[in-house]
Amino acid sequence: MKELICSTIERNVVLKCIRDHKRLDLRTIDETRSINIEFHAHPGYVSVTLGQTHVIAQASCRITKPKESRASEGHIRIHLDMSKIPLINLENWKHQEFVQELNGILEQNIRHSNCLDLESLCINSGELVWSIKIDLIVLNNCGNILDCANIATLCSLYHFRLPEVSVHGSEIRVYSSTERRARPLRILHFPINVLFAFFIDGHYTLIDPNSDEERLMDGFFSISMNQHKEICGIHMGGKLGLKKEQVELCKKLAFKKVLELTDRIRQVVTDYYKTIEPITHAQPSIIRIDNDEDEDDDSSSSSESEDPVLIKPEIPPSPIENNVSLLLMPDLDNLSLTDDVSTMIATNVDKLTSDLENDDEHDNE
Amino acid sequence: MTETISQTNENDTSIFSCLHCKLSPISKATGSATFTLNDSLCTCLINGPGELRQQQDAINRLQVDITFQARPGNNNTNSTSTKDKLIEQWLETLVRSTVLMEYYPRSQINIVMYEEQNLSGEATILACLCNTLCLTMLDANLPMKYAFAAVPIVQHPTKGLLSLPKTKDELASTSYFVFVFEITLNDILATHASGDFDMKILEQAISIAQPIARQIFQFYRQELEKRLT
Repeated sequence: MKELICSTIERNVVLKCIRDHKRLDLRTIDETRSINIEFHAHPGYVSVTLGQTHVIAQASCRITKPKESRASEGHIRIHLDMSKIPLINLENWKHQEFVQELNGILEQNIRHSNCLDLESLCINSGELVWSIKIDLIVLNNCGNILDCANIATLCSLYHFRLPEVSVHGSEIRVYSSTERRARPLRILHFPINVLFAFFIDGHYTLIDPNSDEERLMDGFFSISMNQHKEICGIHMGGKLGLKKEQVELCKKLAFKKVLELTDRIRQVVTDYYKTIEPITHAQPSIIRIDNDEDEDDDSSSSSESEDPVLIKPEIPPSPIENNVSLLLMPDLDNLSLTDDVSTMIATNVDKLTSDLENDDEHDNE
Repeated sequence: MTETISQTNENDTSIFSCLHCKLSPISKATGSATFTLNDSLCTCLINGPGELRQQQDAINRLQVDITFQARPGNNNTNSTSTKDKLIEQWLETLVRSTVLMEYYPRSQINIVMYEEQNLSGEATILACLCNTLCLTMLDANLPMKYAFAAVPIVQHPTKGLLSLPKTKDELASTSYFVFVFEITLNDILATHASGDFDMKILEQAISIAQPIARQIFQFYRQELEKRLT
């Protein structure tokens, strides 16, 4: 499925409006569209709409071995899925490139800015840690997927509840949501992303372009900041060259938006949990278990894999457990540990390069 | 084994409280709908009819391409599980029998279904998916032979056969049926069943489900009327 080609007339009309500092949907240059955040019963599931752009996010967790170099830190991964929407820019490879670019920006903003306290995800230092994965699915692309996905990720992380774990020597026990209430993740700050679109050789700029404006922009500049005025990530995409004053102006504009949004996200999630407090049985979080056989079973310590670990993923609390349904996940007695070798290597390299980038940014501050 | 068959003594208002729907939530799709059945929520969107890919060969009919996206995070990879593929195939048979395929030769439609919330077991979510699919096709104005509606029936160990079960009842049930009825003659288009039952129970379940299906068709009508007024 491909998007419709932008006609010359459309292009001329939009560019003319921009030259007159006007927009077709009657917004001002620095006005974002209205944001709607909705939660459902499953923890970590959020549906965010930024105008008509619609992104859903789902957080899930898994117990894995930590990296050798960071023995007491958990992992976080973000995966953006845009395979169900019509192809952007009419060609599959351009669409894939765009997806990878956005995925990279999101990872940089969330992971490398340390917004989630990874040490709080540690269960047993050097042996077992939580690994959080956020799956984002774009349902409708009406411009500015990046901001929408960013808000969805943050809301999902803040909404997600991690199951309680207790460690007894070498065996661990994971409690279901009925036994012990799951606890929230430790989020240190909210890096909010603001996207600026530039037109006509970088002379004109807009915040939060809609789909027509996004198709015609020269390039975009995305800046991710938190409410403490710290820059968590900067990215320039497309064919763009900017002056220093333009960047400074973008920073100022972005900061105003960031303050409003941070309060909004916090408010929305706390309101949601206030309303469902009276319900005693909350829905359980998604815990992924590996069913396949491990080739390196010998390497993982035998005591951990043999001890029964009580996990009941995705089975809602019910007094009579005679569900013979195929779609629900079966009870598992063993927790198999996986070595996330390939992803660990990839993330190591990323961390090194981005650490350098972060240092540069802090120096420029 | 004595079983009490619960009569469908729900009046019209109570079934409509289990059903909610929103048409065209996704502006860029040809048709889309979000449907809630008790505690299950689904969104579906249709794009098309459009160009056929090179490899596909549908000379004199429409090519149907359904993708079902369950809630992400359960698999370690991002591919569809085999159970979800089963659901996709089942829904594809429904679409093939409903849509007038000869009207669009050498074209394809893409249908994407998302399961957003599922607190109960399979029966409600399957029925929710079918109903969402029908509403989406109606929203997209696809030429159909008939509209269809799915009704979930579960067999509770103490309460007998229940239609449109609440979450608690469904989780305690041993077997379930999902019947898809069409609007013109109220005949069965498709069924899915799981569990331990015999022909008598099956026939009882069908007789319970038929009036419910008529009410669901009334609901479709109401929703579409709201849209056109």
